[in-house]
Amino acid sequence: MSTLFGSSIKRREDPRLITGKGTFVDDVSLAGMVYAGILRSPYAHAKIKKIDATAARGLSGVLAVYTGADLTDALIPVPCAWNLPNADLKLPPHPHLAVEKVRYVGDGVAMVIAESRAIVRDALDLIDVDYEPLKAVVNPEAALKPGAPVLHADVAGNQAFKWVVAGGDADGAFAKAEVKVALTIKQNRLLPTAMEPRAAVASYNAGTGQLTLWATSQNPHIHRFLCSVMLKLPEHRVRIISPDVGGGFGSKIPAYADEALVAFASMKLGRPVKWTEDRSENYKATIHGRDHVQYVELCGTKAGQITGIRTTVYAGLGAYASTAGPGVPTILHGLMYSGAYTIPNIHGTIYGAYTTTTPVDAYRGAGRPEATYLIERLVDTFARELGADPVEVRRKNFIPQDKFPYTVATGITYDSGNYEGTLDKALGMLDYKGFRAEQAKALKQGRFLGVGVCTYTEICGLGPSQVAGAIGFGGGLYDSAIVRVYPTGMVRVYIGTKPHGQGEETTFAQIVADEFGYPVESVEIVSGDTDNTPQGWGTYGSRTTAVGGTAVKIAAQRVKEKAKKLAAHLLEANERDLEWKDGKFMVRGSPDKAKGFAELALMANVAWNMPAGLEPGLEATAFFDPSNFVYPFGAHLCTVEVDAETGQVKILRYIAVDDCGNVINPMIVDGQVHGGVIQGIGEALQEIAIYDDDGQLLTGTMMDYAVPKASQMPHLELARTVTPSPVNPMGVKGVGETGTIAAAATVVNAVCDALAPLGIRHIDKPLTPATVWAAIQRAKGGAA
Amino acid sequence: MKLQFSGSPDIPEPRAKVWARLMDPQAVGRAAPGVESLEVIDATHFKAVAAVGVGAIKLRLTVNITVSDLVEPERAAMLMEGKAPGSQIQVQTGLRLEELGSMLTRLHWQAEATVSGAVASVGARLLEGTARKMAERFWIDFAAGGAARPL
Repeated sequence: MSTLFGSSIKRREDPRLITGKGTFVDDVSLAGMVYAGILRSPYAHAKIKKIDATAARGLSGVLAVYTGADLTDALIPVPCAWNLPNADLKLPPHPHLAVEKVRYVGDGVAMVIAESRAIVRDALDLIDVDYEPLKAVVNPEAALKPGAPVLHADVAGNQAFKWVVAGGDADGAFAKAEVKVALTIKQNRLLPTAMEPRAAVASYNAGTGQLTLWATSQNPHIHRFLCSVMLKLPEHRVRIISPDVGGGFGSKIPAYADEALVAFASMKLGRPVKWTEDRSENYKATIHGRDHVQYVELCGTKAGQITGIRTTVYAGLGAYASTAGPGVPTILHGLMYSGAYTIPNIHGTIYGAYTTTTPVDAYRGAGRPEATYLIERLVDTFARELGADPVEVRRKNFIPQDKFPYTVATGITYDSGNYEGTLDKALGMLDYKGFRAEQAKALKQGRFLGVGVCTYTEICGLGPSQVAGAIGFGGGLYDSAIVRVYPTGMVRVYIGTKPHGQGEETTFAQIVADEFGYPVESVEIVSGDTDNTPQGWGTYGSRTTAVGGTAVKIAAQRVKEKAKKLAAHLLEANERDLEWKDGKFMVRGSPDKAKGFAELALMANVAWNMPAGLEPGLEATAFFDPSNFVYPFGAHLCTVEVDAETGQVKILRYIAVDDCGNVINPMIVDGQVHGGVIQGIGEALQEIAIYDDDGQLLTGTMMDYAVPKASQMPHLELARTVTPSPVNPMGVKGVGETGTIAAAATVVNAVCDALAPLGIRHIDKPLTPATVWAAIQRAKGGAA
Repeated sequence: MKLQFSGSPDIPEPRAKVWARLMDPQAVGRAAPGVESLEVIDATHFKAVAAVGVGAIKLRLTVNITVSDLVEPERAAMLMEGKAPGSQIQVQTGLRLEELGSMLTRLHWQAEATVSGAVASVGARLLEGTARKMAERFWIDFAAGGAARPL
């Protein structure tokens, strides 16, 4: 019997999603429902002198207007859930609506509840707020300088934390080094831009004291806990339902003020309340990503051996610490400074800074793209300094295949890897030598071709709960599944993770159907409702398959073990004499004595003839806590031509060879790589959220913020190698973020390679035509 | 975001007459783009309602105007603080009248606008051009007498 594991069946969720039959939060409509809208600050930093809501309250159809003063006793401030240890972390209160001061453009100032969306809009326009503007600070390095405007009275100098990662003796290595290179890197601030903005529908039942909150969440159980804290409700009376979710990329991990505000209004007014973000609001009020200023250096030998890396990084957290904000530029970033290499001496100092900007949190890759980028840019710069081939320098420094599991200088242990394998495969696909010859020929004609290499590894499959506790993550990182077999043999699987585009309705069904000898149609995956799914920690950090999928696998195996006991009883055979073949338990050597899974499901559920000691029913729950993270890796290559007259970058070829361990569904893995690479190319070439010096967001619409368009993107040539992970029984790793982690470095390396003949060492992304043109003009000594 | 503009149109009128017009809120209001109403609170404080558009954004601003630093017939300063839902615009303008002849006055003006909120994030690409056009139009219309458009 062929297995579903490893087969490219089509995503089962797609017909629903692409024909408008999905159910998103905004599709939820309840009797008596009213609408919420939030008035947001037009200033980055200002004192609130007066809020006059008289006219808004007087408008027909308005039920209530709330301001910060109405909430201080009713709600616990928005919590940060990553209590980074050993970093002198400062977490100033984050009120649901601003009290006394606003701290970014988009900070909530008042909430209107009204009978219709139109009345909400009209009422918001009638609220008169007197502000006294204060000085803004948008750059994380500038925010820490003496004299910078202070956001929070109790956080002197705006410093949220100072966190150090160290291994070996970096200063010693640099003192002795034969070769040193340094770069200053700006990690452009990015807007996650999920297709579906955030939304919430809250319905409080005063009779039962139960709050039901439909919310756009990647992690409903985390939202249940954080909402119970903010709203002072017992956790068992909070039910979060996260139905179809139109993408998140990290932006639907955090607990925001808005969802809790909507719940608060429902509790106050006894009516269901709906709130839906529009795109302009999403760009201001939903978290942003990246935003580092990085001073980085690498040292090594003339022979090309890397001996040390040192960094000083200023990470912008925005105006408040978002749910996972402090962990992203530290744990998920600094611990990865060894990349795919044996670098014995590492030292990084990361400063977290409060700035008068939208809070920054996890965005696809979350800290790891910022690490991969700085390492891969440094390795290229090192190779250039040596006059060596960047491919050969990488090869020389790779962690060898026979050294895994391998503990790097930052203290984490990579599970498995074969870095040369992905690199060789990618080089073969490109014909690297051939391209180098073509590049040299083109240069003679005055054309600038370049090839970029990135050999990344990343940490995902988050992760062991014991580690989560040690690094201050405010929750566990195991995950869970209930496999429930109905009397007719049909199966539902209730999971603690929350897929929102990654295809687990398909891949998890493949796992279970394989286990039971079923067609995939007999298995349904249920996620998102905290009232029927077991405690889990959600979908982020490429953990859903490696952790949640393993729980599914284990629960299915438990069900099957029970079915086997029942089969032995019904067949009057010893369990040891049974074998599983062609979807049936059969007595070895007597293929006519067999019981299929569906029949066993019926017999278990009616319980007419159970063996002694075996309970009726056929279901099992599993919680899986991995022993380690998983570390996917790969080699991405990109060739470009840069038009020196216009600065336009054209991607000629993009090759991605990834290794994410065993693959359940190759088509879905390809889809994840496609999306990730495209987002990484967007980051490299065109995406940047720009604040002016007054803290005004100048890229507040999709006309101004350049999300990649299909017509701009190259054909992606994908391939894989398979190095199973020893961390989980399926040997799988994560693949949701690898594309984004690798692509930005790959593309920028290619452009810098193309422009190296002009003496250009580094250009900060995004490499828009204007930026590249200006760099070329500067290199030529022209006025730009 | 901050924007700075300036200009110096010539007016074929004696300086005293231009000054008198400058001190007449109705005359200034007629030249200002989109002014729907103008209320005189006292000699140096006015309140206006003005509708302006930047790209897709249409704003109806309530504007508080304060005139200060009056040195007759030579210079004056004007602060306009405009509020609209989701946006705030503040314009500080310096004015100087230079007497070039008995029938010729040059109006030097320079304005610094601070724009906050939706109009900054939605209209940023268009804002500079639109705002420059509006500011220049304002003072050119004023210079031309601005009589064409009644309030």
